[in-house]
Amino acid sequence: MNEMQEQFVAEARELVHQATDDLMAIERSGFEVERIDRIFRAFHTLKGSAGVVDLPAMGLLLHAAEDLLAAVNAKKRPVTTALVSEALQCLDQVSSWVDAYEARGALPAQAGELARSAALRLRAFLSDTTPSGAGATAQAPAWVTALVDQVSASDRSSKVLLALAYVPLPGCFFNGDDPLGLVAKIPDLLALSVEPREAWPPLVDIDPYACNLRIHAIAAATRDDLAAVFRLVPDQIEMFDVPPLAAATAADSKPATLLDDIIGCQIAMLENAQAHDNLYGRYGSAARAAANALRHFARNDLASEVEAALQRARVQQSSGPVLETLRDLTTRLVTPLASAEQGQNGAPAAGRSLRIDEARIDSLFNLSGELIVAKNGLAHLTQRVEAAVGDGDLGRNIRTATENLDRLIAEMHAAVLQLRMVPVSLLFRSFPRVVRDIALRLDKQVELTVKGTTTECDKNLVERLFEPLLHLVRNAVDHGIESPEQRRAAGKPEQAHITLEATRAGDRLAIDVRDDGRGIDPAAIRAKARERNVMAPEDIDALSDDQSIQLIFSAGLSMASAVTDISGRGVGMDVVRNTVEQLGGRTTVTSTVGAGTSVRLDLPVNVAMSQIMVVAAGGQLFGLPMDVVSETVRLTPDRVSQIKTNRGFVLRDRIVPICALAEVLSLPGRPKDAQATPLLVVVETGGKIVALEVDAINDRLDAVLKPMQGLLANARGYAGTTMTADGRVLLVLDLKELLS
Amino acid sequence: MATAETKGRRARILVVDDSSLVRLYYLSALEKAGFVVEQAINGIEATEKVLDQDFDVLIVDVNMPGMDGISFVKDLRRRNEDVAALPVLMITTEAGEQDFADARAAGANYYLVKPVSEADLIRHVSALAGWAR
Repeated sequence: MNEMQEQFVAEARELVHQATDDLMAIERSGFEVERIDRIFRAFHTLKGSAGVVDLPAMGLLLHAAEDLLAAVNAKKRPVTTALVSEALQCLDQVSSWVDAYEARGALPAQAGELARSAALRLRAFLSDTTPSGAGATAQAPAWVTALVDQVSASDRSSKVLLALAYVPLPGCFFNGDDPLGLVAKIPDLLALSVEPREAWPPLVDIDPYACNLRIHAIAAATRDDLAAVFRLVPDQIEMFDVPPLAAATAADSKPATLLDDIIGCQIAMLENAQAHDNLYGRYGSAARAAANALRHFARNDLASEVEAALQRARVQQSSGPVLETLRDLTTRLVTPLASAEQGQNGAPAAGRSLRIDEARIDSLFNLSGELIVAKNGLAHLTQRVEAAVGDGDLGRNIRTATENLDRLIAEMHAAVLQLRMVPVSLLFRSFPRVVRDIALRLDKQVELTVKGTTTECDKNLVERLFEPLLHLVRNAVDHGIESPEQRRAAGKPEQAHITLEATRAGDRLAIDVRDDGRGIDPAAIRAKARERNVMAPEDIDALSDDQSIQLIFSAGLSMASAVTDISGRGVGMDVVRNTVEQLGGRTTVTSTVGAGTSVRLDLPVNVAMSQIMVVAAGGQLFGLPMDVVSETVRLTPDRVSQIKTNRGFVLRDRIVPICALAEVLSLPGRPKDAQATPLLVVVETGGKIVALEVDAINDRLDAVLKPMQGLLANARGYAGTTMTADGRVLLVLDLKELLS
Repeated sequence: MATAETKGRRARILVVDDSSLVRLYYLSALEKAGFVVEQAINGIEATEKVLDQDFDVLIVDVNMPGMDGISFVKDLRRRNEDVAALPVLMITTEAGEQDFADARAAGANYYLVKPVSEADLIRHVSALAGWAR
């Protein structure tokens, strides 16, 4: 794949995402000039790019979709859910073709056929539902929008307006026409502009007998009124309907103008006659409001300028500096805002960025991992040198040098990890669409709120968490949220709410999926668990409500009353938990019947670096991943109880079985009675809690796990290897696999 | 999606209106959007709250018994403390030019005409509070 093709793939994906977001936004909020325009442009650009990389099928499909959107743009078609669905479907097709193109450099064989039938469907959709007669209204040209701004808001909202373009023939004076006389007769004329039809020639060449005018007018008149006035020159006029005010305010309210507007208001306030009182409250609040608004629209540079002006104003005790700065800003704001706004809607507006191939970052990451291992060896060597040479300068210097190296390597590793950090918005961005589609299919009204999208985490997490989250979100819409009728009956608003939120606390990332649906009934879960024999009946009876609802993560337990194709057939929640645990995280669910359910995925931000506890068992050293270790305990013999053939002990109201690690690993252990006070490491994984008996607990180390390679690659029960401080290879156990 | 923070904390809004219904309407809209909201029933109570607590934006109705919105803002702007410079979003009942001129003269930073839609309220308050986006 050459560079241009790569560029096409990347750009197409971005455009598809952006158009998807915009389509869903107009579905919610209705016609919005700016968004429709952007959607239209996205389709248009996609069509053009498809032509560049020679994908005629994609071009054909997009062309049909573009026509549909042109109709929306011209207001011949209202924005309906059906229309948005058509457009989204088209984007889905494009997106799957882009994937195919990236993988194989070509579209699937049947693409042409698919494109033709999809294009036919789009066109049928367009012609079927075009309101009859609407085609008669020509699309209003740009000047209408410009001119209509001169009309006061009250006139615009209270009257039906018509725009008129009158271009008199050059020889009209000889026909006895009086263009200005006609214009003067326009009933209820609200706005007028007169401009030359062609640029004025030099004075000497002007023909005063030839009319060179183009007249644009807005009037609160009917077509018939205007036609009557211009009845002698019908060939020289054109009439357009003026879009109603609703659409115009939507255009007015785009963020860029809100900023202009707010700054304009501050200037107006300061220019007010009474403003010469030079009250701090007045110019101070103007500066604060303007600076806040600038910050809000990510123009922090300009906000600082305003704040600096405020400082000067305070010194001079005059509103002058603030007023001047604000006036100056209005002239500078016009153009750069477009790009700033782009940043808000598209990818995060970063500084300058550099695109790097993932593989290069991964190799840098591996090297940095090996560097840590090498450093661990050096630390051991340093200790030996120190022991050998005693307290002399040499020992001290070597220690200092090692410590410096330590720090630098740790910093470098952190920097490399930072390279792998991506915002979770990449993970979250498909979910609004997912929720929309499922909700539509199930006839539910669901609003999804996405929070904390700028939170960053390792790219590995983003890649691996998508499936589990998809599952949770689908579940929430499908099972969690009630039907609108049920919600009404329960006294809840019909519109349900799902929140997807990422938060970061230290090196942990928490992702919450919350819904305000029916909640999970612990009794129903217990009944289901009994029915499906998930665990022994007496164990089920012993469960608290809170423990019961955690059972939704057990394999084979689904609370769907009916099997649907949306959230599968009772598989899934266990997969969610497994995936999260593989990433070193935990899954918890909390729920209140009638009020909703919340699932939290709690994960380490960096999946790559693991904390390892080194333990001895059966005469060897093993590493245990710290994230499954909940505590270490040394037991007196009287606390160990014999339960049938197994041993166990009670830890805070829970019975924890004891397993000797050596036994689990089939190593020759010490005779059991030799250890009167067993040393236990309590580990919690896969929903199980077990105390592992070990001979000794050595130390902890931060390590990057290397996967098992070569002959050992298939050995079960090992998460990987790492190097101990003295350079020995340490096997790190995968306790989940080992204990299952 | 906006984060609910400005200067690292949630933005605090004071709603000044004599109608409890109107206050409730603003309150629920603002809280849903992540703001922390306090209420006052007229200019007198608003002055007490402003002197006592930190706010980022004041939303002020014009017509209120006791002390109306215009007098409240005029008085606020004349104070010497930092509270004098609090951004004020004034809600007027009429869209007349004179109403805007009065609000401007008093020292309001922005004005919206009743009825204010939830979306408009949040958009304007977010901007005036300098909410990070």
